[in-house]
Amino acid sequence: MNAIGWNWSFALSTLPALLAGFRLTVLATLLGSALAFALGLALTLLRMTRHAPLTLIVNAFVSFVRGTPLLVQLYVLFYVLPKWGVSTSAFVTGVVGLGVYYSASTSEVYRAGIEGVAPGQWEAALTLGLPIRRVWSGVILPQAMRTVLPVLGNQVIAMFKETSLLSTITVMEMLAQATNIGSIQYRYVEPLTLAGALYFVISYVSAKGLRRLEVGHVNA
Amino acid sequence: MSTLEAVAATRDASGANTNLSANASTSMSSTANGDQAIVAMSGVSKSYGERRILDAIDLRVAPRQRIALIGPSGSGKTTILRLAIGLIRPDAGTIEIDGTHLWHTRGANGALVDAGERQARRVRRRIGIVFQHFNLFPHMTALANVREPLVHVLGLSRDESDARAIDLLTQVGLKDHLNKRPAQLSGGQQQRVAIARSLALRPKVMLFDEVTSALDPELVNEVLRVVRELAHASDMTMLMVTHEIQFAADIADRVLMFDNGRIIEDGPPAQVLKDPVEARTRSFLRAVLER
Amino acid sequence: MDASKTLVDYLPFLLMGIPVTLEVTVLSMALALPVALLLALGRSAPHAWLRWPAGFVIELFRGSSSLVQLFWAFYVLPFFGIDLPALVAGVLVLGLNEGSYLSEVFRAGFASVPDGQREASLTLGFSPWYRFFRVTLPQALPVMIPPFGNALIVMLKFSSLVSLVTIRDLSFRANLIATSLGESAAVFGVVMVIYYALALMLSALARQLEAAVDARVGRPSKGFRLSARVNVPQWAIGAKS
Repeated sequence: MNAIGWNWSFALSTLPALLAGFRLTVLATLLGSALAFALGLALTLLRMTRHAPLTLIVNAFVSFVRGTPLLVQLYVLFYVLPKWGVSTSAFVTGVVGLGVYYSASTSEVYRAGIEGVAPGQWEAALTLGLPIRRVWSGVILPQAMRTVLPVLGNQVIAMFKETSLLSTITVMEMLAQATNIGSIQYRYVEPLTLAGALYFVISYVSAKGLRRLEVGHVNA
Repeated sequence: MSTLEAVAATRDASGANTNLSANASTSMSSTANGDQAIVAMSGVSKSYGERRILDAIDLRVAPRQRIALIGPSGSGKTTILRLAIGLIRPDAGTIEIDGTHLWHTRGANGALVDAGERQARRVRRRIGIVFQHFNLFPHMTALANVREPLVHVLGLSRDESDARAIDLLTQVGLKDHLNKRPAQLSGGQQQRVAIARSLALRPKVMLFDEVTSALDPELVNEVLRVVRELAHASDMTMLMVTHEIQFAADIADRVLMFDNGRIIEDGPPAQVLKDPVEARTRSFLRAVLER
Repeated sequence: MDASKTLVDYLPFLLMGIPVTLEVTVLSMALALPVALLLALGRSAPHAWLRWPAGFVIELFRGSSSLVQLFWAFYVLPFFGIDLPALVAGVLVLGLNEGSYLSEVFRAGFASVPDGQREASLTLGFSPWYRFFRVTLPQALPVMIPPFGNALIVMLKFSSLVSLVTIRDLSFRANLIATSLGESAAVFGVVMVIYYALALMLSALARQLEAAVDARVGRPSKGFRLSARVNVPQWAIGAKS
């Protein structure tokens, strides 16, 4: 049965704008993920030191970031950064917001990956007298990567969907484009449905692809 | 000259065989000369929380001795091994390997001073261990596993490391499995790779922590064979925690019975295993051998 | 911009957002749990006509952006003649969305109950319903509480999205105050602290629940906290760099 009032020609006309937004969506995802991975690594390293005050601060930061909504964090960055003289585009603000928010959970992923390496591996490395740097680079991290990489993949997909929040700080990514068209034409059905479909297709295909990579890797 | 033989500090004058009866006179509870012990523990205690695992243990091991450690689980025999290689620190007492303290150095006035991980790291070069669960690096091939300490501890070139690693793996009978990953090897094969890997650094003392306990019965013999060859062809000191009583009787020249954190029996296998002094040893052996 | 007023004047207005936020959070969670259970049961049902719709719903909600789902419910449904009040639309979307994610927790929880339980139940003559409620569910519960506790915090954060569809929760009010005052740092800072305090409260609640369930069922479950240090052997950290 035909959806009530679905207008194909209108739908098609919205595509250029949606795709322009999609480009920003993908860019934000890639940059935000890169930031999250790097910052998450720094956080994990800091949490491994024996310097108690440092780990306390980092843990408090991670706890705070994970315990507050991304939306509010984006608002804070959007309004506060310019006040501090860090005047950047809304897009950069959005990327920073996503990166910082996801760095907290990324740090947890790294932690779980490292702690998931069997204790016997540490013992073998120690008793063989391997230098500490080699223990990390040759023994521990390669094994931690196996569990970490698939989860990071899922994080990227999750971030891809959450870039839609950037629309609230004036970034013209895909959802912003859709609602923009909707408010101008007073017709939301086509743009929102198309945008939603695009989010769905990309993340569904990525998730399946990731699953297949995971399985292939395990079997290798 | 095989690598196993090269491990020996000196060669036994009568050839590669270690003769149990010839060693009987030196297998008594202490070495003839106290300060020649290759492993010396004095007053070593270790507790985990409330539980006291080891209680003021004194142990002296002469070079080239083959010692079997037997006893019920939790009696401290595995802990002794882990202390010997510095995986854990004793709560009290000192440990010396080949004349050097594991956790202490001599201060200015000759007194013992607490040293840390650095000191232990230095001493660990002379001692190796084979684990019950192999602990091979799963993301490396057998060859890469054995090559790892050669490249990163001894600093050998890639070619030299490969040559030595191949030699070691050939000695343990795995020449055709060099490029297999641990997951593609049986338990017995994995353990043999682990033995080759620990031998790579040519330690003076080798520790075997229940190396066949995690293996399927039909795979046990291939590993015991390698350990036996090692005992015959080298001059390494060997400490073995094992449940294989018959094997212990064959190759050990000294047996230590552990119970409740203490060594309750210490002597040649002929005595400890056939005619023990302690009732506890008797009941333990009876229970184990009746399986 | 009202220069004569300060943040303090707006504080009561801001704090009135707390019950709204909590209402949205709790209602959505109350919807999410039964939805998750139904989806989990549907997903593992023997009949394909139950499995596919359940699978479809799960993939649909998990695979698309939650904000898009929210906007769709708010802006598009009216075009199909379905005019939902904002609160209903919000709770519906949040509940279905989170429920789709939580169905996996139920599935894992049920899988964690040893097979022997099912066999014992069968040989003892229990009916499937009896077995589910008296054998399976109680044993699955301890394993599921920590993820549910987590989900509650997620829902709290999630609820902030409804501010974008005119529900006057904490985020909505914070935004309003910020534009009125032109002084945004303080407002958003305060709002973040409020959210964090609520999150801590909810996680304390979850821990209480965990303890209560553990006591009743007698099976230990993993702990639940927002952050912890990395557990690595001491020797590997000393001279790392």
